[in-house]
Amino acid sequence: MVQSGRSESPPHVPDLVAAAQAMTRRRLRFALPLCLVSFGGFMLVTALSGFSDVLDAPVVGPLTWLFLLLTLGFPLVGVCAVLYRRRAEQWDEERAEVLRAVRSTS
Amino acid sequence: MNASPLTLAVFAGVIALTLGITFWAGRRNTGAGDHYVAGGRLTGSQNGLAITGDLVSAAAFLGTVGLFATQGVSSYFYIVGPFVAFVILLTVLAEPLRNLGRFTMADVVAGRFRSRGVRASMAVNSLLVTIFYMIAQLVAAGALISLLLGVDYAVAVLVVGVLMTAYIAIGGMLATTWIQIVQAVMLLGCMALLVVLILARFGFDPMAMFAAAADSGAKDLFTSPSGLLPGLDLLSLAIAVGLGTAALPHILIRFLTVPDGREARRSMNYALVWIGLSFAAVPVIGYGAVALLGQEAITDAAASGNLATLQVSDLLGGPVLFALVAAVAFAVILATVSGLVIAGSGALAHDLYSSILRRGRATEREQVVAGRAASVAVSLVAIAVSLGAQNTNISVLGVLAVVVAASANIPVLVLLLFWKRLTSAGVIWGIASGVGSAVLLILVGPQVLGDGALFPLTYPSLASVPIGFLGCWLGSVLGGRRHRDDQSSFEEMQVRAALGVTTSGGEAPVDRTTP
Repeated sequence: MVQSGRSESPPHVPDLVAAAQAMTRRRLRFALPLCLVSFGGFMLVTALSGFSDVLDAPVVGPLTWLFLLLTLGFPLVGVCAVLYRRRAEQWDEERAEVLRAVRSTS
Repeated sequence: MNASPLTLAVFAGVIALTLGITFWAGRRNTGAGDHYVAGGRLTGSQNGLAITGDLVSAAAFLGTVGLFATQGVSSYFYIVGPFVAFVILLTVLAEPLRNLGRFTMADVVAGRFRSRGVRASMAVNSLLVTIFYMIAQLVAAGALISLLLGVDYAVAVLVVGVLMTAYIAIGGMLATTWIQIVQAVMLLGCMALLVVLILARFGFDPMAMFAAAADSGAKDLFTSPSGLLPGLDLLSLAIAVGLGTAALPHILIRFLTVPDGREARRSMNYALVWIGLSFAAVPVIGYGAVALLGQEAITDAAASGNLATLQVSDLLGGPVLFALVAAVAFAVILATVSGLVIAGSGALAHDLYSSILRRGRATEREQVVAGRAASVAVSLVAIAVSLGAQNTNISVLGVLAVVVAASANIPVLVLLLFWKRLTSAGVIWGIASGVGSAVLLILVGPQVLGDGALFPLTYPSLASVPIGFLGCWLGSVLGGRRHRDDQSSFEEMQVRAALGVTTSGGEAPVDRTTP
C-alpha cells in the first residue's frame, strides 16, 4: 500500500521507499524457506555423508541413500522454481500498481 | 592420439560457425552497452540458454563424468551444489542484481556506494577471479585439445586464446551470448544422445546400468568417505562449489543482459531447466562408462578419467560420435572462456579505466575501444600464464576462483542488499579479507603443500566465507565515518533493487560512483 509522504521530501519518495521495503520483506519471507529447504537440505546431506556413514546403506539395488537424496535435489529445485515463479508474478502486478500510483501523484 | 580427418573437419566447422557468429555480432557491436551487456535486450529464454552455456563447462561435460567413473557418488556434490545454490540466485539475487547493475559487478555495488575505492576493490576482485578461472580453463583446454588432435600444447592454447580474444574484441557480449547459446544446444543434444545410447545398451533400465557399474569390479562407487576431516572437507567443498559457482562474475553479469528484473527471473527459470537436464545426464554417462568400459580402461586412458566421455562415445557411435563429442567439448571450452573474457575486460575497461581513471568522462567510442583493448590485454595475460603452466595443478586455480568468489562476493552482495549499516569501508574490508583469506589458506593448504599443509582443508571456504562476512562487519563498525554511505543511499538502493526505478521515478540502474 502506498503511504503518504513527508513534507521535506518530494511527495513520492517515501511512498516508493515504503513500498520497496514492504516488497523486499515479502520477497524474503517467501525466499528464505525455499533457500533453507534447498541449500540447507543439501548442506545437511553433505554433513550427514561427511561425518557419518548413515547414508551409505543401499536402498534400491546398488543405489544408496546418499545417491538418492542428492538426486532428489533436481526435482526439489524444480518445485522451488515453480513456486517462486507463481508468487513473483503477483509481485510484478503489485510493483506495476505501486509505480502507477506514484507516477499519477508526481 | 592423432585426429581423424572427420574430427578435424568437425573442429573446423565449430571454428567457422563461431567466427561467423562473431562477425555477425561485430556489425551490431557499436556502443558500450552493446559491447558489455548486448544492449540489455536479450530475452529470458536466450539468456537462460547462455547461462547454461556459461555454467556447463568442460569441467562438467568431461571432468565430472570422469570423476563419477573414478570416484563415484562423491562427485555428485560438484553438480548438485551449484544447482541448489541457484535457488538463492533465483529468489534473492537475480532481480536486484539486474535492477542495480549496468555493465559489471562493480556497477551493482556502486548502485549504493559512491566511493571509488569500493568500485576499484570489486573490479580487482572480479578481475582476479576471472583470470584465475580463465587460466584453469585454458590449461585444461590446451591439454585436452593437444590430446585429441595430436597438436602441441602451446599451439592448442594459442588457438583457443586467439579465438576467445577475437570473439570478444569483435563481437562483444552479443557474440559471446550466441556462441554460448549454440554451444548449449549442441551440448544438450549430445548429452541426450549419449544417455539414450547408454541406456539402450541396458534395455532402457537404469537400474541394470547402475548394477552393471557396481558389479564391474570398480571400487565402491555409491558411498562417500566419512570422518572428521573428510566431513569438514566435504562441507567446505559444498560451500565452495555451491556459493562460489553462483557468485562467479561471468555468471552474475549475465543478469545485466536482459531488459528488466522479470526477464532476469525468467532467465534463471530457463537456465534451471537446461542446467538440470545437463547435470542429471552426468551420472548416467559416468556410471554408464564404468559399466560399459570398466574402470581400469578409463583410468588407463587418463588417470583423472577426463577421457571417459570420449571413450564411451567411441564405443557407442564409433568415429562419427567421437568426432561429434570432441567438437562439442571444444565448443564448450570456447564458450566458457569467451564468457570469462567479457567479464574480465568489463572490470578492467569499464570499472578501472572508464569509471575510475577517466572519472566517467570517456565517450561512448572510447569506452568501446577500451573494452576491446581490455579484452586483448586480459586474454594476453591469461594466455601467457597458461603457456607456462602446462604442468601446474590446474585444480588449484579452479579452487582459487570459486573460493575467492564465494568468500568475497557472497558476503558483499548479501550485506549490500539487506544490511543497512554496511559502509563502503565494510565492502572494501570484506572483499580484502575474503580474497586474502581464501588465497592464503589455499597457499598453505593441501593443494599446494601436500602432506606438509599448515591448513587441513582443500577448499578453505568453511573458514574464508565467514571471514569475508566478518571483514564486512568489522569494516562497517571500525572503518571510520560513514560519510555519504548513509541511510538515504540504502533506501535509494532498496527502491532500485525492488522496483527497478530510482527514487525520482526514473528508470534504474544509475551509476553513483563519485566522478
